[in-house]
Amino acid sequence: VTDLDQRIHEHLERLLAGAPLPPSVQEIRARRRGARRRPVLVGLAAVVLVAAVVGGVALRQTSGEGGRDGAPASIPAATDPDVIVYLRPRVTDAQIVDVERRLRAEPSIVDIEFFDQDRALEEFRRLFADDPALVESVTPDVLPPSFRLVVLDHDVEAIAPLLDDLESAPGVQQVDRDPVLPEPATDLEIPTCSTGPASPGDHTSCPPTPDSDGSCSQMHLPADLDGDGVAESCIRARDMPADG
Amino acid sequence: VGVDPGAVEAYEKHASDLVTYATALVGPSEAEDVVAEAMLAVFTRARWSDVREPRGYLFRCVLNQARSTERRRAVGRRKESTIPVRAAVDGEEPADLGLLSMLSIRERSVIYLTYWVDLTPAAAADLLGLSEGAVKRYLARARAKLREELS
Repeated sequence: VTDLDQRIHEHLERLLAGAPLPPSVQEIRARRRGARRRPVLVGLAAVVLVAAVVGGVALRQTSGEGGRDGAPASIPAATDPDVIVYLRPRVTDAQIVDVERRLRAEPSIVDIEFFDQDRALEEFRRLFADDPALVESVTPDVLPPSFRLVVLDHDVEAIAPLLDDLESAPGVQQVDRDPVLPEPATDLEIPTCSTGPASPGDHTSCPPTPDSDGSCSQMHLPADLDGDGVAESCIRARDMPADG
Repeated sequence: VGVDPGAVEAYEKHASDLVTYATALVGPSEAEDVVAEAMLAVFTRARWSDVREPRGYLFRCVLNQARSTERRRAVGRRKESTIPVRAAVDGEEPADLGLLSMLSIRERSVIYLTYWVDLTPAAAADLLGLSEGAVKRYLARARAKLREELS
């Protein structure tokens, strides 16, 4: 044991003596994911960058000002992927296994998460919660399954040759090397809407506003995103000014 | 939304290791938060039945959360550096982590696993889902930085 090793060990001993107690399962579940981060998102609310793929066509929408620069670090993306490999909706199991095998053989890929079609649908519903017509038009079989990758040091260039290969691999639809998953539509400012009676199929009419007591019984938009039993826009309506 | 009992059991089994690990990654004041955020994601999103090696999986979740916490902090610092309260909080960070603050999160991770958990580079690589070579490189880089600082 060298002097350096000894000193590193001593330092760790001092540092780790201050480790807090682990949070209990109850404490963890009582949290609302990203609660502490939402205020940052208010500033980004006008920016949407959607990379959703429907029926084999990549759809990208941008609205408002701003760009991608600030977004990846600020948006608490669920998985924070560096690369998304979209597969074809009709990809075979053997092709999925083959793609996964090639991904796993690459040591620079530190995390691989598979999104099947059900999970893709779940995500799609969340992202387009403000567009019920679009959500209704989609079934799991048209959405592409995908692999979400985290790359060592986020150095996507390091695996460029593999990604180039995968682009032409059977079953692969598209490789997105700079994915920006938008916040769910529900985190965005509700667009200006008409207060007149809604005509059938008119999705620009106003969503109901919170009740005077701050509860959200009338709010149908958006859904409860994180399963804590409280609709997120309610949370925003009640909590955001205080947080900010 | 139900939480998989297997995930809860795995967390409870490794909870104190995970918090110690998080302390080595982000310091004592942020450690609990990092573990809680990481585990919330595990409880609400992971398909526990797909997790093959729970301990390594949970360690990787904590590592990923630590990295995104650090990234967010860096952005926050740039944006809010003019707000005194925020600046004061940030000022405490280096002291919080001491010597390790000069290392990257992955370097801290490898230092902790090597010196505290006594893992070999191969075992650390296994746990982190990295190659053994990568772990050795991180370790060498971390030791070089620490040696320079301590000399």
